[in-house]
Amino acid sequence: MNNPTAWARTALSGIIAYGLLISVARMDYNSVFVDEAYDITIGHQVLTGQPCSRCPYATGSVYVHPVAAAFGDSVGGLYGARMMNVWLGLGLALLIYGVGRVLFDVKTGLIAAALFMCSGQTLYLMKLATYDMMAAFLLGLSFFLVVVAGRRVPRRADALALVCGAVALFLASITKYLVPVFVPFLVIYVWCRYGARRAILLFTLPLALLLAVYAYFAVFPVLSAVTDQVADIRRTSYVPFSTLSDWTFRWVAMGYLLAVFGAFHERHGRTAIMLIVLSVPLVVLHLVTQSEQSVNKNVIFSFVFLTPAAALGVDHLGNLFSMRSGRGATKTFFTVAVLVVVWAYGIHTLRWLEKQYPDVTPVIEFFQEKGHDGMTVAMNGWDGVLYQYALRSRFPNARFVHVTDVSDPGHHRGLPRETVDFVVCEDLYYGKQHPCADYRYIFGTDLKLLRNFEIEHSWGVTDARIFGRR
Amino acid sequence: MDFSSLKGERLRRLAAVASMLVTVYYLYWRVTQTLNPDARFFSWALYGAEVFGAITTFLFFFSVWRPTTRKSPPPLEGRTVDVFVPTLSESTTVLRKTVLACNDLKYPHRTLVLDDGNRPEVRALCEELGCVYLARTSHEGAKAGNLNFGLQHSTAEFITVFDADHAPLPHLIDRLIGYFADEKVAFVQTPQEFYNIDSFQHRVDKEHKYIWGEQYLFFSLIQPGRDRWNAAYFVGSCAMLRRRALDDVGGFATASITEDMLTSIHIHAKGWRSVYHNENLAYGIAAETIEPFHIQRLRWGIGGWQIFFKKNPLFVRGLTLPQRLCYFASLIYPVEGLQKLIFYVTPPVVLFTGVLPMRALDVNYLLHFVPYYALSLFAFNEMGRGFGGNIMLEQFSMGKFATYLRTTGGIFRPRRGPRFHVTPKGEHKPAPYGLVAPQTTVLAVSLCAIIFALVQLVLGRRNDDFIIAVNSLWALYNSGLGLAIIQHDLKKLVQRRESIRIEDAVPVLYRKTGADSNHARLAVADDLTKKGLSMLSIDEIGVGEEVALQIVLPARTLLADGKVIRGKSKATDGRTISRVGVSFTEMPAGQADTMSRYLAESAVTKFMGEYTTRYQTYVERKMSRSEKRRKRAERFVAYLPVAIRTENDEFSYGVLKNVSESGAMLVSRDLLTPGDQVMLDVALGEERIALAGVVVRILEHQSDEFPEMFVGIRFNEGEAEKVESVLAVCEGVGELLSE
Repeated sequence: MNNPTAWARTALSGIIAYGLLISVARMDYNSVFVDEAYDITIGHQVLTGQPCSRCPYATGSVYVHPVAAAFGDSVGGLYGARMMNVWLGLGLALLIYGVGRVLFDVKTGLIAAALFMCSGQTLYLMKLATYDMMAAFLLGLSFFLVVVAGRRVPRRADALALVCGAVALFLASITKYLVPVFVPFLVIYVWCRYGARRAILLFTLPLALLLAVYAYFAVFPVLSAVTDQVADIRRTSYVPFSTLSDWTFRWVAMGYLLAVFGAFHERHGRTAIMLIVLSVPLVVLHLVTQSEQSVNKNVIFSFVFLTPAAALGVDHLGNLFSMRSGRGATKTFFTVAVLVVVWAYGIHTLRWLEKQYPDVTPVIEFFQEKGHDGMTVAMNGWDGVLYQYALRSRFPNARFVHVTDVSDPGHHRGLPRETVDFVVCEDLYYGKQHPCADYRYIFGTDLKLLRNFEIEHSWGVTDARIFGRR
Repeated sequence: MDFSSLKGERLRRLAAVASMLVTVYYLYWRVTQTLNPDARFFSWALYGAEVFGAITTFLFFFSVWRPTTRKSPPPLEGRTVDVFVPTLSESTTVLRKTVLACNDLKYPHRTLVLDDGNRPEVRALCEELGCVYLARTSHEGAKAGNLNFGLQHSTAEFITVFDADHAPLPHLIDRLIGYFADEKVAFVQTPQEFYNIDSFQHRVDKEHKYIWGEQYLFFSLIQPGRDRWNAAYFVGSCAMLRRRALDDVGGFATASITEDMLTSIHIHAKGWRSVYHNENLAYGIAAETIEPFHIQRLRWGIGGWQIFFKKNPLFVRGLTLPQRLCYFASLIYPVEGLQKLIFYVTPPVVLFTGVLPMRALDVNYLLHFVPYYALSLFAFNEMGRGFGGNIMLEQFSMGKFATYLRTTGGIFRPRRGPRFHVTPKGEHKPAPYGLVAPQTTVLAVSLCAIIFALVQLVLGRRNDDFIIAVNSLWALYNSGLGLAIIQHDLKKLVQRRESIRIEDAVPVLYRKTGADSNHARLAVADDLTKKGLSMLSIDEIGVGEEVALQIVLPARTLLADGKVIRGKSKATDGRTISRVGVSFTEMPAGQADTMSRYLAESAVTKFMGEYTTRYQTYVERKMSRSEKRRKRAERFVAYLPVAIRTENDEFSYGVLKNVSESGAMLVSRDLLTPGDQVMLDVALGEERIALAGVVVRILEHQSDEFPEMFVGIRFNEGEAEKVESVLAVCEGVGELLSE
């Protein structure tokens, strides 16, 4: 183990193995989340050429993550779809190791990979079949290629790395329409690192060209989808600034706390500051829009840049706590101690995130037992895609509609109330915008409360009430 | 230290002002918004510790606002000076060195040894070395009483005081006496510098030639800062005092065991002036382990409290406001013990109980705390002018906090006069492990608290994850401080030496005296003590071999017999390089004294001159970055002996300290001048390599008795091949020296 390369390889393998193990161990931590159901369903529709009514509302290209998720789902169901992200998360950890290694050294790269794998958000998003991890992976790939381009001796390889970096950034941007918030900062970074001429020719131009072509030829309108979504999100998830800053702080506090120490690193402090700056746009976006929507998931994009800086911070803390004694063992002890603190913090965050969204397994099981093919279920949540996905194999002809579709006679999909077999009320979570009390008249005397499931979350208790015909 | 040439002074003062303003706001915000009503005692304790930190920081900024830089005025002629060396229990070995150095003071003077131990061996020493021996029959008033006894037997206009371990340089009086041309000047204080930089209170970075000393901040900055306010005080040693001023205040003050500070207060209160001459003119022995360090700080702390209650400078008549503030700052520092205890206890309490000393540890708190803390650190570092070193200061605070807590006992029994304990020096006794018990406790409790809280977090029994994380990091920091002190103390326990080594580069001719008696070589002593030396030679020398040595000091050669007691060797470029420790088995008494004087008066200043005791602050680094620096060729440590031949066929021995491809740095006893052509015969064992070069610059080492110079040599063209052979050896030498 004296060979540093062999040591690093072993350590990196250990980090990856840990990530894989902890993800796979509790892959079924929760029932399918509504976003997962959306993406997988859209993906299947795109792959099979079925009409895709939800496609125009997607906040990422339907041809990237949804297709991949649907592929995973075809292979292994929800487990398979989630596994896609496990591999991407592990790949991203390797990329972050690479960035840390190139910018700093092998040790910092390893600490960066370890920090990333210890982060609760990483571990959570690795087993959540949404587009977040894929977009983060592509963003990480782009950053890695940009960083590594400066190290390739032949200029041609340099150029290729930069162009590939632009392509990866394009793919990241279309995977999740939030990612472009990082684009201007990355472009400036490339500009500063490689000079105006190379930055424009090899990075900015290809990227701009690809984005323009995509925007122009996209099957589903990109801009309107984004603006509609942003407006909708702002409306539904607008919170006071102080609440949002507290909430955001919760997810980024540890990363930034460590990264700030990185900024004081004697040799690489400047690079750490640059990484911190690159990580900031997303946090600023949330704070400016005062939208809390998915901030806990979105911070994964900031982590792509922040983690190497935080790793530098851990290294610096190891130095600081060992009082720069020069004793390798003392420094290692304190570095590992800091990592253990981060690990415990990450495990706690992971537990919290796993129980953030409602586990509606009891509701699904209820329908599996009491439902029938061809039934119509109205719900006050997000249009029932979740139940549609969960029950599609057993009840392929069941319909899941929104409660507004039943009640609103003027609505183009308006249904007569007598066709509804069940109503699911999730007032405290999915149904927050349309409390069932507002639609009591639908139930009339025909529907009665069949079951009331209490669902425990990390932040409190919600319920899911099922009404059915007498 | 010339403070007037320091860059960024305005900027650092601006930072200090900004820091004070932000601190005031932060403390106001803390007290009005953040105190936890459910944990009032805990909240107020932490707040009190923060307030104390702010007060001491403000007083520090005030003290060092504009430090003075003084140039020694021309000496006064024909004045009478008595040199006092008070002693109680110090060994005659230590005392002998000091008395020899006192005798060597150039200015006409009398040396008086004031022995409060009434020891016959000290009397004999004084008789041998021709100085006055004085001993009291009763010992009231401790050191101050002893000095007053000396005053009774002195009629000199000026008194110079040295502790028994402080050896002055020959020109000390000449440098200081000129200040007394101003009739209002009562005393001139100089820094207390130490040559045992492997002591408990020093940290050495040999690679960057940087020494951090726990007292450098005080002697190199705070005293010059206070000098601006006419508030520099007498520290009991390395100072010159006007007899008339002492008589004016009734002699040295005996009401406190820190007689020096109280005497200064009396003198300043009478309207006298003080001067701080910031030049190292005497070298002493610093506390070697934590025990003498602890005894010294305990004495200072208790003495401070005695003054606080008996002669509080805030209320003594005659002092100016700045003087009051500066003295006040010097008296309250032992409260730091309580402050640090609160800082060490806070994270474990939070980790064990989950109770916070503030309402919340949230983004709002951090938005207030981080700017305040960062700015305070920055301003402290800048105002510390490179003598601060926060981490080292924090380490030593950890080392001292229990001692300072003990001194606060003085608050409750201020009238009881504790005994004066001399700081043990040169005794080489192991420190009791019990002295690191407080640090061990902090370390153990902090680590247990972290483990406890993390387990609770992972098991889901607690949800205050960020609070646990932050307090764990804080507890880890405290653990690091504790561990560093424990490790350092243990290191000192196993690194005890009979005599203090001083790094040097002295040519040595040695001959083996055993069977191989024709074996003679030229080597270099890379460090020296009175009892032996460490020698580098391109030769094979075995442990146990006996050697006859000629130690070629500047202007004289010492003879000694020695025995190799340890050694290591390395093969490089077909040659064997040995580094051996030689213990003197025989050295005539007169030669031993010469060695002692050389070490105290010349070697130590050369050695200390190679190190810097301050670092560049952030502002200085930023400002000097714009200056272009001449690129120098890479230099390699050499420590190779040379025979120097000049154009006039003069011959002498010297040492090549370092070599590059284009030149070398030579330590020479020959007086060379720039432009001189020299031929250097580099002795590589039996082989000689002759390098021709020209003197390009010189730096004289100021010593009348041991004149030397550092000479920059540029090799002539065509020497490249020979230089390469020398460089090949240098590599091995460098490795041996760094092992």
